[in-house]
Amino acid sequence: MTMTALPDSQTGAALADVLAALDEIILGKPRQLRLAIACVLARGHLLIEDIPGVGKTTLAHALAATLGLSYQRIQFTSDLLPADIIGVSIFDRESSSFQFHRGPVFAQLVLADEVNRATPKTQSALLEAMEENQVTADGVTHPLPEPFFVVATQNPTYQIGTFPLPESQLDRFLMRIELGYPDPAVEKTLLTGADRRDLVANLQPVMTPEQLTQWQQRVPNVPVTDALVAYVQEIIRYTRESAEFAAGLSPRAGIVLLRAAQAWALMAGHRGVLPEDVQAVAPSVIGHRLRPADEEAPQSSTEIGQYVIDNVAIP
Amino acid sequence: MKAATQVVDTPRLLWTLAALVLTSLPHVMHLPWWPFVLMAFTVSWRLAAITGRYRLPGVVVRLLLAAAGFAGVLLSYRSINGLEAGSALLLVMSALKLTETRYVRDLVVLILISYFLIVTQFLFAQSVFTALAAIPAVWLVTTALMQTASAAPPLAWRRALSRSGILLAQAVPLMIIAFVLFPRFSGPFWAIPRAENAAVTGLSDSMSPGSITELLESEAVAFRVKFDGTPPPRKDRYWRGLVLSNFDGRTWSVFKARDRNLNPDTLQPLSNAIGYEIMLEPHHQHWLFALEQADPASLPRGSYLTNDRRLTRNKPVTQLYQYRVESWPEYSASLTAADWEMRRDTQFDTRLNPRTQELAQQWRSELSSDAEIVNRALYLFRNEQFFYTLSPPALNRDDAVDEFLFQSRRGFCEHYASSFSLLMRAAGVPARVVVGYQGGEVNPYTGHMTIRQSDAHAWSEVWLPDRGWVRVDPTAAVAPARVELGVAGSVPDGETLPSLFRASQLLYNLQLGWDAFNNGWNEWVLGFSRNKQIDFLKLLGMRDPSLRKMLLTMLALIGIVVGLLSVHLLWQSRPRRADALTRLYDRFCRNIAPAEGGRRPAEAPLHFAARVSAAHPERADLIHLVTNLYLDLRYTPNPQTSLSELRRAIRSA
Amino acid sequence: MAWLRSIFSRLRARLRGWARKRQGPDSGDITLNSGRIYILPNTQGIAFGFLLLAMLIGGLNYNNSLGLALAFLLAGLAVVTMHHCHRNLSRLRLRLGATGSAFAGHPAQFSVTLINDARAARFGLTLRQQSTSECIHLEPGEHQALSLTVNTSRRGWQSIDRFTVFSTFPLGLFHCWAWIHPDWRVLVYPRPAPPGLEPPAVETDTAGSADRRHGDADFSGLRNFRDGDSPRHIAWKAFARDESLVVRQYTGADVTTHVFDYDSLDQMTGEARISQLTRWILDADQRGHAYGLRLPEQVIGADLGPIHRERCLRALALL
Repeated sequence: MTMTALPDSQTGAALADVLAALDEIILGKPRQLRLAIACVLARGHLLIEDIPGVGKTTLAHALAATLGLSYQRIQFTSDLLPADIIGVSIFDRESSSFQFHRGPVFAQLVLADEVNRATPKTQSALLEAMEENQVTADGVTHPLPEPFFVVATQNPTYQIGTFPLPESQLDRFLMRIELGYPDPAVEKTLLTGADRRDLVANLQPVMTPEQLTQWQQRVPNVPVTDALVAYVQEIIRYTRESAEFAAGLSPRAGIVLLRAAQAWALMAGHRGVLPEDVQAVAPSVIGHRLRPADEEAPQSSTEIGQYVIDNVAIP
Repeated sequence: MKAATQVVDTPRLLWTLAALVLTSLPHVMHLPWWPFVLMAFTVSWRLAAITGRYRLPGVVVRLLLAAAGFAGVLLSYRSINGLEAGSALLLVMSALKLTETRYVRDLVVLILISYFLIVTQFLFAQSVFTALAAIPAVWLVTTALMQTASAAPPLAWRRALSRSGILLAQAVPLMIIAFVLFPRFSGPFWAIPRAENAAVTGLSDSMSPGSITELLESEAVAFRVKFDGTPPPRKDRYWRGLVLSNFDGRTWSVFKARDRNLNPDTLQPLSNAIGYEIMLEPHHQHWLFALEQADPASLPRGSYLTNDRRLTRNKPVTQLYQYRVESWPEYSASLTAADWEMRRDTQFDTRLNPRTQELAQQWRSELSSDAEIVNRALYLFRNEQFFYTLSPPALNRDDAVDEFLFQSRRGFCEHYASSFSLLMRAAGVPARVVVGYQGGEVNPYTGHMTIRQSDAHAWSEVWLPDRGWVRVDPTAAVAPARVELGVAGSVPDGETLPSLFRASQLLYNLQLGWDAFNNGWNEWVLGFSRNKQIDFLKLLGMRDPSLRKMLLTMLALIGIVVGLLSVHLLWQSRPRRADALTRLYDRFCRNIAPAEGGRRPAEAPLHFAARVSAAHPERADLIHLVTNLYLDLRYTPNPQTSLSELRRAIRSA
Repeated sequence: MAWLRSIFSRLRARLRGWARKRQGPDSGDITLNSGRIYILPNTQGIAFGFLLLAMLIGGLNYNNSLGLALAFLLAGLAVVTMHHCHRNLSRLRLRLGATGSAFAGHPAQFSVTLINDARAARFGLTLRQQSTSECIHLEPGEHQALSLTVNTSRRGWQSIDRFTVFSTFPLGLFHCWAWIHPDWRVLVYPRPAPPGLEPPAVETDTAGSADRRHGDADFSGLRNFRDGDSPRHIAWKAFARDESLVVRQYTGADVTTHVFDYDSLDQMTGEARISQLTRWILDADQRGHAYGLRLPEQVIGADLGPIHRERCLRALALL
């Protein structure tokens, strides 16, 4: 962002520190970083779709480290079972009862790496946990830690034996983003500089989980005027009425779009949500919730989202 | 088109029924009761069928109903031709059509019939009241058409009425233009026969005791007159109508057996002519009225003078009829009369009224000339104890004239004219009774003269050898006030008068005003004939209004009105206005950097600001200031700035 | 009458062709300008015209001024109505919407949104293609989506290159319409064969068990060993750890995988085969079985989900 409007003095600084720390690690991706933070603030989950090696894992790890969150990485494979994620009840001979052993999902930031390699059943175990913020095993409910944030990564190229997340499940993720190749200057730094993973290991938390929760609580309070609601409605209407899409946005999509825009406005320090905030988050929020009518048009979800934004007049 | 085959639904049906019933009801005034019963029956049946529990009648029942309807019309009128029979038939047909309304198309037919029922009403009467009553009817029928004819879901009734009201209001200017400029024909090409029994107050072609009393009680207007110059004095305003030459001892009636045209040479003017225009209320008779004596050269088209100088029209007057005549106040008529005429006009039944005959023969032997006999009779009326009264005692059936002349001596024009004429005939002087109107009242508001039925009058006409036919009004001998002041001024104090004459001053003025209004209505609306149209257009400044000119002017004016209408509609369909803030900001965006082409619709304000300030760094501060103010006003719930501050910031540029 | 109708339909076709050439194809947002709005009296309008004529002649003949005045008022009304009718469409905005897909024999739906930007309401707006849509009023600033249904008969692409938007409001005397030429294409899937014929034997890619009740798909927990449990399900690790005999419990169905083969149906005609394959795909999709498709020149690997289903149906539709 080259400009800030309506600065709100309280907010700017604290989040700026987080962003500054992350910018050190993840080079050349300020936009994606901010989207990730907005996603955390809006209590959503993040789906990163890109080829391996562009820094998806590093991003997740760095986020956890900067925000001071407990971190678990689950590598999804075809033989991964639901129990391997949520945990297992094991019979304890001493107490003569089953004891629940928590799975890796019990962390504040869970990186679900290459979710499309696991079977749909295993995927849905993770998705249910995300949805409900709790895990149920043998009839006992185990709450997940607070805050709870899932970063899932998926390889976009279709391969036999993989199960891309079904569309009906995609909207469990607040945002879907792509990282993309670094530009040449950044690439050079990456090649010559220190290993990013080492840098992550040395990262110091800038924020406590409690502080993060406070930030999250402020998001729904960012003011929204009727004029902005009208803009969001226009976006939804466009997707429903346009011939470009097989199906329009659901009412829930509208709600989460507004929530993400509020998070973005909070980060940008705006005193109210601006159309700019909606436009900043919309490609990542609505892209994966829309299905183009013509399946054969090669378009990424972000491009689809951007297309909508470019075509909806701000009322 | 699609709507036509749509199945009837309840709101559409109710609107149609409302239109049909409202336009049928006024016909109660001149049609028999049974078509209305038939309609009530089919309306109820159709309403019951909405519920789905009753079915519409089948073919057999419909045929039976149709046969019964036709039979009814035939029985009532002995014809299916004619205005009454036709209207009854229209009602019967629409009632029957109701029993087979399955599709919207059928309802539309009924609604169009409703329009026709309104027009039919106008053929019976064209008064202001008929016109006023037609306004809600047209409105309702139009609303019904709107609610029914298009496939659109019916509107709420208030909205429907207001929409159709707007349509009608916008059609009114077009109506006025067409009414004034659409070329008229000068006469009817065919006429609808009317039933003979149509009862209208007015003179009849015979006079028996009591027949005029009825008229004297009627306030109805007989005709209105507009004189070219000043009207002649009241005592000279004898409006000649009928000449009654036949006398059977009791009843005077028109002699029709040898009704032939007057030889114009037998009529000589003795003074200048007076021109005037008469607007005659329809009386469904052939005779017309004119001041004595109409110039045979000035008669309206389609009319003639009979040899007893009745002005007669070929066709009965079934609608307001406007004509122009010129009359000579002084004239001589039939200096040489035909023998048969002399014989006819001295005939009487010698078995009746012996005393009258005796008196007449006594005068004949005493006096040397006919003129002296006339004067003697008038002297009798003037000097003996004769009284003018509107409530005379009942007279003997056979020797009524005897009884009147020698006993009761109380009566009004019909008694005096009748007894005077009999006296003359008994004395051998050719005499006859003339009926018509006498007097008339000038309306101070418009200057026209109104002649009412209460001005009906009977007088006599005698033939004197040197002078021809001479008017003699024996009533004037008894009560000079009758001809100078009218009926009200001539009856003795204390006698009850018909309601019209008792009116208070206020009511009298109201009556005059109403009469003036009606006169205008007759003259400008009902009587707007070809001649009137041309006069009016000349008055408006159109030189030489030819058919072509009128049509072209009409089309041009309609074009202007329609043009205005489309501009109005276009103005209504202009896009909705944005709020003040948006307008202000949009204008700023358009003007700040014309080269940049303004803000694109999907471009967020900050992005626009960035784009424009990159192109015009010198204006960056202003752009940022305005953008921030706008965003604050529009996207924060409690703006820290105001619209006027934004306006100031923009103006400062 | 037949020859008259044929002349009319030929004339109409010519007119439409002319309009199409004049207006060009439409897409996205269309604002109807007066150049493409046509208006003519309809049957009811002509009937109304005859009524007027009768009133006019009668009024002139009898010099019945009130009758004439009513005739002129109604004539004026017709003129006014024509403009109001035109106004219903004038500058109306249409947004061509999504097209669905359909199975042959079922109607396909097209969505069109009508938008009223004006300050005045628009009345009686209707769309027509083969059938007529709902008829609506649009208040100022309002918009509403209407759907047009089009019958489909054959599989493959079906294009809709024209529909009409019209209104006869207020008095139903005039038919005011505009032709819209969208570039709509709808993919018509093959008509599914009636259920009955079961797909050929299952090929499954999960090794081992054909145990239908206890599929291998999902591990759901452990329970104590009971007689009759398969030894393969015993949790040996747990046994080694604490010597209790527990079995692993699985829930859910097998991941059954069909591969539907066009050539396997060689006793049927081509279209019947395609219908049968369509039926199998729908059934498998409903049961949650994975399936693949082997067509003469195309093979689609086994998979699940709506995208896969659509890919298979599309392949069949365009075969």
